[in-house]
Formats: sequence, structure tokens, C-alpha cells
Amino acid sequence: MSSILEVKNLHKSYQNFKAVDDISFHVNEGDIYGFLGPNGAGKSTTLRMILGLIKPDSGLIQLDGERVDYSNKKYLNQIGALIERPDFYKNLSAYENLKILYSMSKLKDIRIIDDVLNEVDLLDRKKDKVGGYSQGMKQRLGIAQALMHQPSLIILDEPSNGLDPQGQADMRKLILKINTERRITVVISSHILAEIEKISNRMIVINKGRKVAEGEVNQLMSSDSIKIQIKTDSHTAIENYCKTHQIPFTNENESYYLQWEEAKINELIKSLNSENISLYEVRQLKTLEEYFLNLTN
Amino acid sequence: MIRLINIELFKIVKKPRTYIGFLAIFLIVGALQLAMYFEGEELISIAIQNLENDFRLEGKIINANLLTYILLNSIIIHIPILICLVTGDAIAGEAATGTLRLILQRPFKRSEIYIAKAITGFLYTISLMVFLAGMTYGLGLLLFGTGDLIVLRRGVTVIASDDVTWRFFYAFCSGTLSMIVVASLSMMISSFVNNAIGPIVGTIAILIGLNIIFTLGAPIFKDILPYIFTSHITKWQYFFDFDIDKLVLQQSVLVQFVYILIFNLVGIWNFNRKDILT
Repeated sequence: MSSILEVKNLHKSYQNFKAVDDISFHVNEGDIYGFLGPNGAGKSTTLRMILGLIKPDSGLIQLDGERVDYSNKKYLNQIGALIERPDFYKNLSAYENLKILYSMSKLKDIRIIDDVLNEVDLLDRKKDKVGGYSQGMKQRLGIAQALMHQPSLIILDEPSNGLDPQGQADMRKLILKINTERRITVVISSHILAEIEKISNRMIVINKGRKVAEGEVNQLMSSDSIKIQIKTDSHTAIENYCKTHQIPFTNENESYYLQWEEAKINELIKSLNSENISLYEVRQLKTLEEYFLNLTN
Repeated sequence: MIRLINIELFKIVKKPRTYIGFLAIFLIVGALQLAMYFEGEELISIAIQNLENDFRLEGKIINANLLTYILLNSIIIHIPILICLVTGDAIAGEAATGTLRLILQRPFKRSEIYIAKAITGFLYTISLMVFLAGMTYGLGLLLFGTGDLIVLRRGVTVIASDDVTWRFFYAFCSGTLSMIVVASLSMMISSFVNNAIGPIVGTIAILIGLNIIFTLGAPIFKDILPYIFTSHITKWQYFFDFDIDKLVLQQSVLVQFVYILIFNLVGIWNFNRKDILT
């Protein structure tokens, strides 16, 4: 399956704070790709960089194999997005809001507005001012504007934020429908593991701006791919070791968390010892869920 | 570009705060003209007390021309506030409400979006000045009729009523150019901040601050005074001199165009590099 979005070694810092630190991932055509991380992990910053809202310090973003050129915004024709809150012109109706975005997308057939409003079940409320909409309706309108220019990829940043359980279920249903019926690749971010698990086929986990894990959701959630928590004072040595052996790792609260296969733990410990890396504690975290709960709690 | 300007115009037309400026001018000009209608003779006689010792004044001193001249002075502070309500909101207001994020996800360059917003702001400024002209002169004609204009500036100048219209036309053009400088300044500040109050307060603070500094007339500022944009806001008054100093007015136009260019280029540069975090 071909890669529709590829991000390589993305960095963004604000003074001394590293918001995104060497993030790389790729999204395949047809994926519902989960972007998981606790609040402040760097999810929104990464997604905003893809959309050109934030300029990266370094790194590469490719869309359909072509490097994204921030000076030429044409690549945005391929992407629809709902970033954080669904903010609209509150004094205008849903139809007027979409008409503004329709004009800015240089579209030709005005009927597309009714089409997308129908898709998100807001057609009968199209003349109402957005200021009077509920949070769920605004989220659905946000999806409608992301769909309007028929993009090949849509990016949804925490689309279930502020929704009640029924609203969240409806949102998942809508995203699945968009993915299957309109064949649009979806990148969805969330700080809730269960939400990503329910809807995504592949995902990335990030924390403190760094990639923690990436892969098939089923595989990551199984015990085949586990997290190893290591306490050591050989900080530089273990970091170099992980980089050399391409082992995804993160450093949290004086512990290193490595993504590794359960059957090969002994092998890893022997290898670390042979590199003279002193190990004070090695602990196996059963699943990604356990690891993620450690992070968020 | 036309598409973007149309969108910005649509947004301005639909925004309630757009009409605050027109309403304020309507109320201020209306109230002042009514006050002059009922108590103007008394007020004017106090103002020209000294003149009456040296001149014999006949005819209608209070007329549409005099009131228009007096009210045109409101462009020093009052009209800039009303202009900033809209132009200062253009970027910062949209950043605060999150809609800037929405429009920047569309395939237009940021510089194009900035220029469209700036042009729309200038059109709004022009429409506000046209409304001010219409209200002051139109309502003045209705209430007071026309007459010769007495101007007290660097002496006394009396301008015949049939010689005054073209002067007002150029005076309003000059005033409008000054207000476009103000609109450009507030747009530039708007690109630096993420709330709509900042550009309004910032622009007015700069206007008042520069006015105070240069009204004091300290000798150290004498040489730079012609290059400070606030000193050109009242240049429209030169059109009511007996001998109009064309060179000063040409320099004034040039300086103000340079300011418009600088403010907008800085605004575009900053808008292009700005991270959208709201």
C-alpha cells in the first residue's frame, strides 16, 4: 500500500522547550491512523506543521511522495482538517460559513455545500447561525468543512473533545463512514487510548515530543510488542544503543521505556550488559495500554 | 485576489461591529450639528469675540462649510478609533476566535490573505470618510445652508462659498490618506498579537503618544517632525490657506505612502512567519 503522508525527523522548539523532537511516521493510503499521546505531547504541533500553520525548525513532510512546499499552498487542496476546536464565524449561518470556505477552495459546484451538510446531518439546520449550535453540531460542521473540497486525506485533531458518549460514538461512526464510503485516509489524534483503539488500524504514540511506538494497532496492543522499563545511570550509552539498534525509546521520570518483543528480553539484557550499560531495574510492562496509563497517570 | 477581497467584504458587511463606526459618526455629527443649530450663535460669538474688534462680520458665519471644517478635525483621534475597530480585528480578532486557523488551511498564500484584508480595511476606511463627509456637509447644508468659510489658522482666511467645494474634496482625500496610514498601522499591530483589543489600544496609544511628543515642540524633534506620520494627519488644513503650499502637500502624500508601504510590508513579513497557535 502506498504512503500518502510521510513525516521524517520533524523538530520544533520554543526557546528551550522541545515541542516536537525528531518525530517520523508514515500514513498509508486508506488508513485510519491514530495519533495518540497525553495532553501536551506534541500532537497538535505536529499536525499544525503538516498543515503549514506552524513552521518546523527542521524535518521533511511529504504528501503523495512530494515534499510539502510552504510557499505554495496548493498541497492544501489534498488535505481537509479540523484542528482542536471547530471555530467558525458565529454571526454567520452554517451555509454562509461553508460558502466562505467553498470560495477559498476554488470549487466549481455550489451543490457540494448541501452534499457535505447532508453527510454530517446538518442540512435542515444550514440557515441557523453557528453561534447557536451545540458542541456536537459544531464538530460535525467541522468535519463537513474538512470534507468539502474532497481531499484525499483528512486530519482530525481530537474530534471527540467535549462530546458526550453518544456524540463520541456518532463521531466514530461518521469517521468510519468517511473512510470506507468516500475512501479518504484519516489521521485522528486523541489523548484517549480507547478511542484510537476502536477506530484506527495503525497508530503512533508520542510523549514529550518524541515517538514512543508506531505500528499496527492490533500488534501494539498485544503482548507481543511490549514496553521495557529500564533504570540506569548510563544515560548516554543507552540512548546511543537504542539509536544504533533502531529501538524506539523514551525517557520519562529517570526511566527509559523501550519498545521490544517479549520473547527476546533475555537477549536484550545480555546485549546491554555486553555494552557495559549498568542496569538497576528492568521491568516488563505488559501492553501499550499499561505503558500509556503509566504516562497519563 | 478579487475572490479573497469579496470574501473579506462579505465578512465585514456581516459583522455588527462594522456599523459601530457609522453609528458613532451619525450620532456625534448629528448631536454636534443640532447643538450648533440651537446654540451655535452664542458659541461662535464667544469664539470670534476678538475678531469682531477688528473686522465687521456679515452674513451666516455658521454654515455647512464651517461645520465640515470643524468636524474634519475629528480625524485626529476619534475616527482612528472607529477605523481600528475593524482593521485591528482583521487578523488578531480572527486569531482570537480561531477562524484564522480555518482560513489558513485553504490553498492561498498568507501574503494574499493579508493583502486582501488590508485592501478591505482601506475600502472600509474610505467608506467611513465618505460617510463623515456626507453627514457633516449634507446635514450642515440641510440645517444651516451654505456660506463663506472663515478659517482661523495662521491668521484669518475667508474663503468664498463658491471656492470651497474643491478644497473640501482635496481635504477629505488628504484626511482619507492619513486614515489609511492609521488602518495600515493597526493591521500591522494586528499581525503581531492574538487579541482584538491590542491593535486598537496600540494604535491609539501611538497616535496620542506621538501627538503629545511633537505638540510639545521640543527642538530636538524639529528635524524629524516632517517624517512622522502623525504630523501629516492635519495637513488637510493646508487646502484652506490662501496660497496653498503644494510642495508641502506633495511631500506629505509621499511620506504617507511610504508609511503605508512600510506598515504593510512589516505586517506581511510577520504574518508569513507567524506560528498559528490559537
